[in-house]
Amino acid sequence: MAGVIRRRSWGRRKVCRFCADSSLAIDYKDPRTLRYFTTERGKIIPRRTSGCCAKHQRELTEAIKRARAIALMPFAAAISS
Amino acid sequence: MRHYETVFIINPEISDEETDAVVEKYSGMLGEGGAFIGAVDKWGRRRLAYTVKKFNKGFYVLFDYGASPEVVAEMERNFKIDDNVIRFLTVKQGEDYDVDAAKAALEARAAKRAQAEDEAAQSAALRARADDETEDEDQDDDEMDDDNQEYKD
Repeated sequence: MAGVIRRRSWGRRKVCRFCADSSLAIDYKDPRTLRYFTTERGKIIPRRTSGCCAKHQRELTEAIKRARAIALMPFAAAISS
Repeated sequence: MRHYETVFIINPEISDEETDAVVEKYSGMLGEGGAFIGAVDKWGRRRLAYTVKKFNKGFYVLFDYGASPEVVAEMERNFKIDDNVIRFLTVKQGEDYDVDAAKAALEARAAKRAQAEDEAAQSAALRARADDETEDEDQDDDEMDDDNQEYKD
């Protein structure tokens, strides 16, 4: 992906996982990959935390919402204890 | 013709034959409407992430096809009526559906599967022959070996 590398402060800048690895596809039928981008409660992790680029975060939220619609992922997970 | 993908969940408590009948029914419906079905993928019974119509499990089926919008609307109308279908989701994958490419992919997949089966049969035959050659002691021993190999597969 051609793009501008943003540097805020000198910290560890997270790189978009989907940009770094082109073999990694975003697919609503693959909840195992998507689960990585949700909290244990099933909330979608924000871009500032996940480090995804805008394009992929958009695709990701779309995929997670689709996965929720067909019960592959939870809207809200019960507290498992 | 547009490229669509439909995932739907069938009642998990009905028998396998009935499940197949439901899948047949909808693939037939698509076929009648002039759709080309590229793939029917039965994922099988899976746990649902949350309860849907009081079910905690569901039989997932995926259709990948090219069709006109009216056909999809008709199928979804029937999904809503059918008590055996507890959830469905249709996603448009693209404006155009390349029937030739889909056909080629379908054939390639069939060929691959046939080849894999061939190879499996061949290797099984080879293994059986190797077993015969190396072990001509006890019949009981042979049987045990066969059992073990099945587990490995």
